[in-house]
Order: sequence, then structure tokens, then C-alpha cells
Amino acid sequence: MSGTVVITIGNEYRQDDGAGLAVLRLLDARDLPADRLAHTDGEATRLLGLWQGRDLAVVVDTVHAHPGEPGRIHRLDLAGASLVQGGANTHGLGLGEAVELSRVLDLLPERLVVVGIEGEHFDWGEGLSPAVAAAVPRAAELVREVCRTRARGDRAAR
Amino acid sequence: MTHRSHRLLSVRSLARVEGEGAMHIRVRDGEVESVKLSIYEPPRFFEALLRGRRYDEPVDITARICGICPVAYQMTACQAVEDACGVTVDGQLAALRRLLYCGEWIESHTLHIYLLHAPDFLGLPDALSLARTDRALVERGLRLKQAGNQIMEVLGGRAVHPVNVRLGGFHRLPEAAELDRLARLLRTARRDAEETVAWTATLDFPDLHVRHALLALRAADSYPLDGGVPTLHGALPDAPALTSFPVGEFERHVVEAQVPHSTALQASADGLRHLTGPLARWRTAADRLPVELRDLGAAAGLGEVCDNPFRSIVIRAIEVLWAVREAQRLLEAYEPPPRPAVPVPPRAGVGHAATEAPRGLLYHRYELAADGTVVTADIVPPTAQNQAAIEADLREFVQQRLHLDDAELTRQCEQAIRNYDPCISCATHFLDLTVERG
Repeated sequence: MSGTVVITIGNEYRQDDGAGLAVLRLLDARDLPADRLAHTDGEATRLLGLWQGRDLAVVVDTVHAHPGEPGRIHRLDLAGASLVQGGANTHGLGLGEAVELSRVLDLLPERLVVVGIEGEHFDWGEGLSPAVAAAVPRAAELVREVCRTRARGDRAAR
Repeated sequence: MTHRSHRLLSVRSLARVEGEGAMHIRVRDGEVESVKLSIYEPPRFFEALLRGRRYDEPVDITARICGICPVAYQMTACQAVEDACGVTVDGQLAALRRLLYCGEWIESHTLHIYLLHAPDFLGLPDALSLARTDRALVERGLRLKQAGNQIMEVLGGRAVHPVNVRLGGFHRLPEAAELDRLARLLRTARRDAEETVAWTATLDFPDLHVRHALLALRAADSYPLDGGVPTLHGALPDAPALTSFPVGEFERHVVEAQVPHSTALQASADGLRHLTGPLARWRTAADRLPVELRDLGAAAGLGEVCDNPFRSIVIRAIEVLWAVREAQRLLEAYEPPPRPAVPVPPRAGVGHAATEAPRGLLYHRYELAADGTVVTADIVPPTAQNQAAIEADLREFVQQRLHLDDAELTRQCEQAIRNYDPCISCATHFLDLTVERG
């Protein structure tokens, strides 16, 4: 397996945790140089299964920051051995553990980029906070840019 | 040994469970005074959210209650709404639903066995340490879990929060090539599942014997999964079934009540503190397993009744093997149905359904208006039913281990809680540990 996978994480019925799915809805597989678009709840082994063997994995997740600024976008470029701490999921093993477990088992993609959108509200319910909703198109564009940069790099290499 | 007259053990955020909650144990003058499992995750109000929705929406919305067992919610919601509409889905469509549910059992149980619970038995802090210590073991777990994952992807459209399930069946039927690929994966999965059972049998099990009523479904000719008759057993090892009742009478027997320390409701069955899940299924339906699997259980130390929650990991392993075999059987017998779904026209009525989620019996009830609008919804998840039993077990567990220092006692309590594979987010209704020693 090789190529690019875009993975969004979150629960659309938990307010700003739905930002990842909102980003996915703006992405069009036809003009995105990615082999697979996938949405998950962020459980570690599912992430691992999606990104193992890939050249590039782009992960979009809602994050907390301290101090926070809802809607602020973070880009974390993990080249192999770095550890990222988990996002906003409520599972026993999350994104941070997925990265570490993949590292221990040699299952990390060649390159892993995490696009984190700072959320504000995570209670039960639908709908994004205004600042988070405004960040969704920018996050989608960042995903496109990361994928296209990779695709241009592949063509240049050929 | 502590010289203090008061101790308070507190875990503010339990690790390696699904969702967010806490535990508080207060000890005074050498006696456990109180044990409280607190669910502080925001209440989700799913039942309220479902009111006013179209009757075909609960199948997708309730799947978001839990990332680990969405299929249980989907299958139960489908059956309950279809019951209200007077429709029964059978034949190969029911077989495909059962295959999907097998995928979830394999995936969910394997996640719990290998990544959440195994580190406890091996004296390791987490799955990462386990991967560094025994890479092959974790790789086997991931391989087995991936088989369940693939079943969910093929049947459900994706592995989490499946999108291919609908009232009456599916949006799209699987293609022959996809099912062939699953059959090949399951051959390896069967070997991995057999090795998992053998491995769990070698673990050390702390001594703990519980006395609760046990509630599980009993099916006519199978180990319980997607249906059956709710059957309640008493606490004594050789007690006959106290009662069996139609699913439609579930709320007359299982009664929920609010407790002050938790946003989750607690439940009792016919006035008894009860437990659902692997111990209950084993008590209620081990005789429905193929004899080879019962023999594996016996060889692993399981009697006709298992009252040690630590041994539930063995039952889960046997259930994974059963689910793999059942999935193989369903695939071998599969013939494509004429259409992906049967019509489910709306009508006014009330529908009920119960299935066996990996963590235990899950019940849904929907009341529909004539146009299919959901008037009321009621969801009784397994963890909420189990919460009082878990608290009672911890009380006895801690009482026997008061000589331990706070750190070790806390560690053992967390392991004991993970015996039940609690799903706090589906309970909405669960864990931080606080032990006060007085």
C-alpha cells in the first residue's frame, strides 16, 4: 500500500467535535490527490489501520489548547518518531497513542500531518461554534495544500 | 498497612475505558463506607434528541452514542423501529445484519482484550509498554481486530459509525469479491482467535466472587447476539432462571433510577442488583455454544457458572472465536437477496428490541406517530445496568485489600473496573477513583 490518505476524526453529534467531518464534506475526492478519504472516531487501532503503509497521512481533528482560541488551526508535521498528544476523543486510546503504537510497531506512514482545529464546545448536540465553523474552509484548504504539495513532489521525483 | 482511620482513594479520570468518569472510595475505621462510580461526561440526552425525528433517523443517530459498539445501537434501533412498524427482517438480510454484528463483537472484544485489559494482567501500564514487551502478542491482537474491522467496513460502509445500515436492511449489498476477501481474512482470524483463548487461559486471575442476578438474552438455537428472550438468573450458582419475559415487557422488569453521584441512571431487574455482559451470557447460554468451545472454556477454568469478573476476559476470547466461526458460517451459507432492503412503511405504534452488545444487553423502545415521527425513545445501555453491580463488587474487592497502600489499591481497583469493559459514553449515564480512608 502506498499513496495518500486523509483521515478526519470526530463526532458530529458533539458540537465542535464535528469539525473534522465538516472538513471532509468540503473535500472532493475528484480534485484531491488522495487515494482514500476516511472518517473515524479517532480510536487508535483504526487510525493505525488507515495510515499504515501510506506515503502520506493527513489527519484532521478537533483539539484543545491552553490558552485556547477557538477556530485557530494548528499544523503538526510528524516525520516518523515524534509523539503527538491526543485530541478531543473520549476513547481509551486516541491519536497520541496511535502515533506511539505505530512507531513501536513500525507502522507509521512515511509522513504524518495533523491539522488541528481548536474547538470551543463539546457538549451533546449538533452544530459548530461560529469560530470553528469559520475555520473549516481554511482547514480544508490546508489539507488540499498538503496533499498537492506531496503530489507535486512525487511528480518532480519522477 | 495504614495507621490512618480515614482513607480516600480517588481516580479522577479512569484510563483505558470508553468515555470519561471517576471513582471515589471512602474507608472509615477499617470498613469501606462508600463506593461511587461517577459519570461526569456531559449527559447526552439521546432520548430527548430523538423526539421529533423521522423514524429512519435513530439508526444513524444512536450509532454515535458509542465509537466502539455502534453496530449494537444500529441493530437494536432498526429492530425496535421495525417492530413498531410491524416489519420483520429475515432471511439473508438478517444474516448480513448478523454478520455485521459478528464483526463488531470481534473488533470490540479484541480491542478490550489486547489493548485495554491485557496490560493489567501482565503488570504493564499500557498498550505501548505491552507492544514494546511482546510485539507479537499485540500484532496478533491487531490482526484479529482488523478482521472484525473489515467486516464492518464491507457491511457497514465504514468501520466506525457505519453508514450502510437502514431500516429494512442495507443501502447497498456487498459484492461477491468483498465477501470472498472476508472469508480469506477469517481463516487467519480463526487461528488468531483460537490462540487468544489459549493465551487468556494462562493469565493469573485475582480471587473475587460476585453475587448478582445475571441478565442476558437466550436465543432458541444459538449463543445470544442479535435477539432472544431476556432471561434473569438469581445470584446462587445453581439457581434456575428466575424469569424470562418478552422484550416488550422489558421496562416492567428493568427499572432505572437516578443516583446523586452520577449523570448515568442505574438499573435493577425485578428489584435485584444485576449484571449484564460476558458473565451473564455465559450463565444464560453457554449450553448454546458448540461443544468444542464449551470444552475450551472448561479447560480455561470456567464452570457452568463463572462468578469471577476477572475471568470475563476468557469468556470474551471464547466469544471472539464464536463470532469468527459464526461469521464463517454465515458467509458459507450466503446467497444474495433479491433487494438490499425490504420496505418499512411508518405507522403509529410502539416497538421494542434487545440485542447483546459486547458489554451486555442493550434495549431500545420507540413510540412512533402515524407519519413515522418519533414521539418518545428509551435506550437502556449495558453499562448503566452494570453500574450498581460494579460498585458493589468494588466494595468487597477493596474491603479484602485494605492492607495495600493507596497507589497499589488504586491500580487494582482500576483493573477490576476494566473487567466490565465499561462504556461510559454509552452509559452517559460513568469514571475518576477517589478513596477516602477514615
